[in-house]
Amino acid sequence: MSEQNRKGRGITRREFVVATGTAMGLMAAGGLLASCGTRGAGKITGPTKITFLSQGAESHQKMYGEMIAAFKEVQPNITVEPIYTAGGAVEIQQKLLTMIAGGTPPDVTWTHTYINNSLAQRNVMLDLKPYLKGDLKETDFFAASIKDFEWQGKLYALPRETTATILLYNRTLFKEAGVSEPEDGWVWDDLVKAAQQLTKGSGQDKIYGTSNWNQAYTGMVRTWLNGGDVLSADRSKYTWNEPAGVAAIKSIADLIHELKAHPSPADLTGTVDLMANGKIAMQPTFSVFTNMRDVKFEWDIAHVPQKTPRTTRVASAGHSILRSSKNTEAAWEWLKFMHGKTGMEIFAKNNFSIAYKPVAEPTYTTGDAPPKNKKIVIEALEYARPEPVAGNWVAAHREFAKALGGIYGVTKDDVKTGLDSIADAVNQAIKEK
Amino acid sequence: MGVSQAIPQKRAPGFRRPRLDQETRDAYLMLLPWILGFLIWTAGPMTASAVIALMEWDLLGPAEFVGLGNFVALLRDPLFFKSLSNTLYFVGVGVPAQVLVALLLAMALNLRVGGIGIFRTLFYLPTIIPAVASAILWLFMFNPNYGVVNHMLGGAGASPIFWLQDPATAKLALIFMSMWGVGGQMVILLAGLQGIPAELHDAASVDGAGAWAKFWRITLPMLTPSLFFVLVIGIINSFQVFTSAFILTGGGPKDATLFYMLHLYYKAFQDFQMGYASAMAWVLFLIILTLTMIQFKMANRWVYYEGESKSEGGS
Repeated sequence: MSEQNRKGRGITRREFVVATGTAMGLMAAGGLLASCGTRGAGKITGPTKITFLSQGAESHQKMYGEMIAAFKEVQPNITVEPIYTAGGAVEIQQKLLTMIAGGTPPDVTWTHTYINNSLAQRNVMLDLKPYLKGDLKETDFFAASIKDFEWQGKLYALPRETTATILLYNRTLFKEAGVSEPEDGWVWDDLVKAAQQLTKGSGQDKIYGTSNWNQAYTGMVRTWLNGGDVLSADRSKYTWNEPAGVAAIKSIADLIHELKAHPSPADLTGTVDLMANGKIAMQPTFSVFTNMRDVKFEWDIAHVPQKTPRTTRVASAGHSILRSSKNTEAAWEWLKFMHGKTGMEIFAKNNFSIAYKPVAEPTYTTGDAPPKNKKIVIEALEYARPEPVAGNWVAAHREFAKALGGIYGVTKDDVKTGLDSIADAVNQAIKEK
Repeated sequence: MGVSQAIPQKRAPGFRRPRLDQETRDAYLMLLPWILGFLIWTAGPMTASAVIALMEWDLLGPAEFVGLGNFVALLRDPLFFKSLSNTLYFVGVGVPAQVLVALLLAMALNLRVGGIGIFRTLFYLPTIIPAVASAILWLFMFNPNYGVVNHMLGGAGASPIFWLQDPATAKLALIFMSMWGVGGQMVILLAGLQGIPAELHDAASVDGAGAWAKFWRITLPMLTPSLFFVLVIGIINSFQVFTSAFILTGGGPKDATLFYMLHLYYKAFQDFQMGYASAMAWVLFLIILTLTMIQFKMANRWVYYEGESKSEGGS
């Protein structure tokens, strides 16, 4: 077409639509080609790239960066491309499912107990049991952490770190108040009595005898200690509103509302870490003590008040391989490295409560660094149990928080009424994925 | 030459449509990025959302056609109505309050005093602070024991208020917090105030009008186009309130701050009920569209444009 003709000719609507459609088609095709390009090409026959979705805090990026560099030295043919995303279990699950739906699933992903069940039901992860026969064995990990990632006889993740709920306490406050420190054989009534003796002051100077029982997970521990549970044994029905659960939660509500020995949720909103600031005498918490490194008082840990048999809660984070991965062998090599001695030493160095026994056990049995009774963590991991994760456990937790917030909060809801109020929603949530 | 003039008046032989000249083609070419952006990022997802709203889909599994099932499910979901009523409260109380505060600030910042530019900057600054950062700041400020809000109220003899923990005050606290971000509305109203011809006020003064009469008879009517704009945008934005509740309360206590978008987010990205969430999105779209159309219809009664003549009381 001559220049003159081009100048004289306008674009018809039809041509405009065709041109626009073509442009969009080309862009879409480009996107598809780009996404195809991120996939691998099967077995490791040469340079292989795997993608790895993980938590994206600055400290995590630094740690995984070190891990990837160390892995490159032993597996120079495998390139690990990290995909960092902010947040924890909920956010990683969002990102993961969106990536899968978008046709660009990672090869390996960080995962957590709370979402293991949901991801397992969606059949997106590879069963790792067949892989655990060589250098790495199930028995290398704390039993509770393996249980955390099992679903219907299959193992969908290797645990990175695992924590047991233990009782963290401020020895200085105990000594000042002349109260005996927690010891084996302590039961709930002993804790309540000590909490009352340790509570003193008012306003910003108030010292609370205990705290952190207002969380859903510590409420579960208290309920287990009382012989109840949040779900039935087959995890098909909500049972927290049964007598054992109601009594357990009432005992916590009494600490807050009646005895004033435990801060209310309102007291804990938008504040600094009261435990690390010496305002709390004792509290149940995960067995991670990074917040206690620089405190100016003596502290130690004990078992949570117990009955026979002992019980507490375990929760774990780990890594899974996606079933859709075209590079499962390379992905397994990466997983095996992270969960073997070298990888676990890097995690341990970064203050993770690691699940790999050959590296973890010495850190809990040797050394002078506090806590003095650190072996309690190992003992707790032996008898700890996972939450009865079922269905959409994230949604179930939203409901737990709602009911407990009403009971412990400003409205001081009746315990039975509060726990009853979420029954339908929890029963629905545990039926969902 | 304008686009309309460029269209040839005579049709080519046959049924061929008129051709566009170079200028018109250039104009369309310039518009093409926006048109493509709209088609790909707005019209495309909206169409997909309309289809997904008729499906049951968890992102990974096959989508199952359920017709209007998701819309029926909305009517059976107590949290849908709870979130809708929470949002209506936020809009109904929050938007008038935001507009009022923005108007008062704009009038104060319209005064001709030294250093006014500094004050204008200071009052606008919160608008550019990331929403998450300011939400966390307010979390500390609302603490019943240590927070600055109760500290100030305590100085006046008030008892501590459990702002975010009491279902009776949680929504009000978030509305209170939304005042922090009225800088954008304030700037629009300030521009509107500065666009009012000074002669009108001068003439009114000559006629003996007082400050109130000048405000009521001149400033406010002349400002109605700007007020209309901030009202429409304020309502649209307030229906989509999300970040403050997501960060500060998570929808609690006891669903008191479970706003519509938060409920939608939970359904979409925690429960992965994409069909249900899409149905919610379409219902919200229709609500906002209807309210906006009503506002435009009502605007004829109270919005005055310069040079326009309206009888007392509108109509």
